Amino acid sequence: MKKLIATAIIGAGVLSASASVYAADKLEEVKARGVMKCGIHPGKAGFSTPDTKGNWTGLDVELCKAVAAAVFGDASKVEFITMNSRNRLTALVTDEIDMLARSTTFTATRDGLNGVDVTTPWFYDGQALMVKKELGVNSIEELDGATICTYPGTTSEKNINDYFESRGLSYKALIVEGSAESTAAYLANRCDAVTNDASALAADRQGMPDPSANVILPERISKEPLGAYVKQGNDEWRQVVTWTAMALIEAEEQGITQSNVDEKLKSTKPDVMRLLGTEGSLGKNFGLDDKWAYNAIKAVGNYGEIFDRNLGKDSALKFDRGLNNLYTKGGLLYAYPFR
Amino acid sequence: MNHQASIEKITGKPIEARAKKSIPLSFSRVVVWIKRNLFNTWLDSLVTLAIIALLCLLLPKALDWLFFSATFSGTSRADCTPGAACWIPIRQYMDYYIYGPFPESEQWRVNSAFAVGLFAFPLLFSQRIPQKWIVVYILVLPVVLWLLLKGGFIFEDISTSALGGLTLTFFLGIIAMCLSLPVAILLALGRRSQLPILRWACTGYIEIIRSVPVITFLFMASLVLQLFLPSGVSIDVLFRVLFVLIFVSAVYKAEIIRGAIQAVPKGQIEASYAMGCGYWKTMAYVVMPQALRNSVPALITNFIGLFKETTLVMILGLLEVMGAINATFHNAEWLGLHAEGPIVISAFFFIACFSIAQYGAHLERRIKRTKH
Repeated sequence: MKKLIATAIIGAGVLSASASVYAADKLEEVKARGVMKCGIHPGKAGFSTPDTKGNWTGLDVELCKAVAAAVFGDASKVEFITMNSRNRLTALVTDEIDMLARSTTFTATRDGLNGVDVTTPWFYDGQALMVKKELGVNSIEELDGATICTYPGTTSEKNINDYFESRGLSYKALIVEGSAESTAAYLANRCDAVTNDASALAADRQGMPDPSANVILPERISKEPLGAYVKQGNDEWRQVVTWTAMALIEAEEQGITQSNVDEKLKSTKPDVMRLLGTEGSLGKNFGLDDKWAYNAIKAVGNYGEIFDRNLGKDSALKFDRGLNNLYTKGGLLYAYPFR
Repeated sequence: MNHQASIEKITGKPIEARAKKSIPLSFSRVVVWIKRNLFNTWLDSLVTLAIIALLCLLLPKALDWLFFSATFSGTSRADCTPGAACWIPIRQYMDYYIYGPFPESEQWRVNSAFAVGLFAFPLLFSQRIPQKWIVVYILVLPVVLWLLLKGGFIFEDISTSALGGLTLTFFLGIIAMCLSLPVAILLALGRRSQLPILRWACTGYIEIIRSVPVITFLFMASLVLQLFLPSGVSIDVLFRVLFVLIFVSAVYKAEIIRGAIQAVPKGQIEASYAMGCGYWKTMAYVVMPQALRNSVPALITNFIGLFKETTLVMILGLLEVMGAINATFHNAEWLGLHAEGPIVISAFFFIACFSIAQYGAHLERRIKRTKH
């Protein structure tokens, strides 16, 4: 029944999306409105949570701010609208939000069917396993015969099964309902390892009495590229969101930080000059100011800084960069060339 | 006293001790009361002892967790005592829970809105102010709240995403409560109308709406409605939510009121007509005052339910007080504190709903007095 309703809603969404293809591009609309509406998660550690003043913070939130800075030169011109997992894509289709940065996995079905478009991955998540440090385990391969806490009937259970079976390993599943319950079972030593998406495991770990006594194993047994979605048929807008994210990744590669970006304006390195708009007109080509990337970096810093602040070493979560490192450092982050 | 004494003389039995306020409290009376109420039979004694044992087992631990070992002051997670409640985040986020992301410079508007909304309470309890004025106040209240919190007229517009926390809960709760009652009265009258089309329409509306869960209407308001509107036209999500809350809860109230209307003796209505009163006069002066009085307990329950239903707007991505509290406990600093949030939410809703219930009890007492 849920599926039927979802299909009907998506179907209607596609219809209305195709009806408004000929409308002016979202970029013009956003500029004219003077504020960008960004759909975010109503509470996910490291990605979007309110601070004591009610300002949103987190990895997803900062992407929204960066886009606002690129478009308006002012990172505060963004309105955050919390979305649940059901209405998030529809909200894009119905123009309730301009972009969705709500830890949504890029999948072919969503991109192809729902009247929305993917931009570029902002965080490579994936199902992982967490074990106690005292076990001395460094990889999943060493967990042969272990008991693993999983959720009932989810893809996570199937992923574990496939992973172990294909490697000729055995395991015992302990089915537990819910994240808090599975953490409790793990802490009570009812299972050796607990599985979930790596970002969720990091949050679970932080909630434990001694977070540092647990380690998230480096393997990812499923692909969960999370990133911003935009409404289909708004090519200029999609480019702006995509390339703003890329600019922040490129900035890290070029060693441009929030604090040294003004200095870097004097740089004579062509890559840096084109990125910061001191040479060429990359910004104009996107319908933005040539200082667009400068503004974004000035507002939120480069990708590495954003990551460290919200998820990584400077945050409570202490999440490893892992796949979310530059391709030059063994990760998957690879900005297309700025030329 | 004389009266009671004479009853005692006639029946030869003492009137139950607790009914006599004049007898001074003595140890022996307490013993008698305990014997009679807690240890009357061996089964009573067993139940009493079991409950006492359970309380002795649980209460000290609960109190210790909640207060004695709990952490009230500090700045970070490191200050929390493990194994007990940690109230630091609640204190840190209190402003956010109350005002949500409302612009700080405009917070006087929220304060005024709370004041205007809460002023309804003494007004409702007062017996000196004419009821006409109370009705006017209650009908004007939603407009004032809307102006203060959402903007319009001389007030600067506030974006819906800036409404959250207690502010939003009060906003939705009070407006929905104030406006759903008049709608309900009209629906109830409509369903009992002599005009067939009106009657069918009201009956159909009531039957359809009350047979579908509120949550699906909220979903429709959030997902489906926008798809039917021409592109570029959008209705503020706050409007949609209020619309659903008002027009769904009105249906339940309509049925409560209809039941109470049917309990008004037919003779009174006929008498009223016979005296030359028209339909509206009869309803306003003869039927409704009695019907509303009789439906007070059920209506109050419905109001409480409606107030609690405002938490469902989380589905539409609006962070009312429950959503706001949940969100803050996802903050990396405070992860792993599972119980504090729900306890604060429960405490808030208990205070709010118990106050509504107290008003209901007050109304019933007042009605009882006026009847005799």
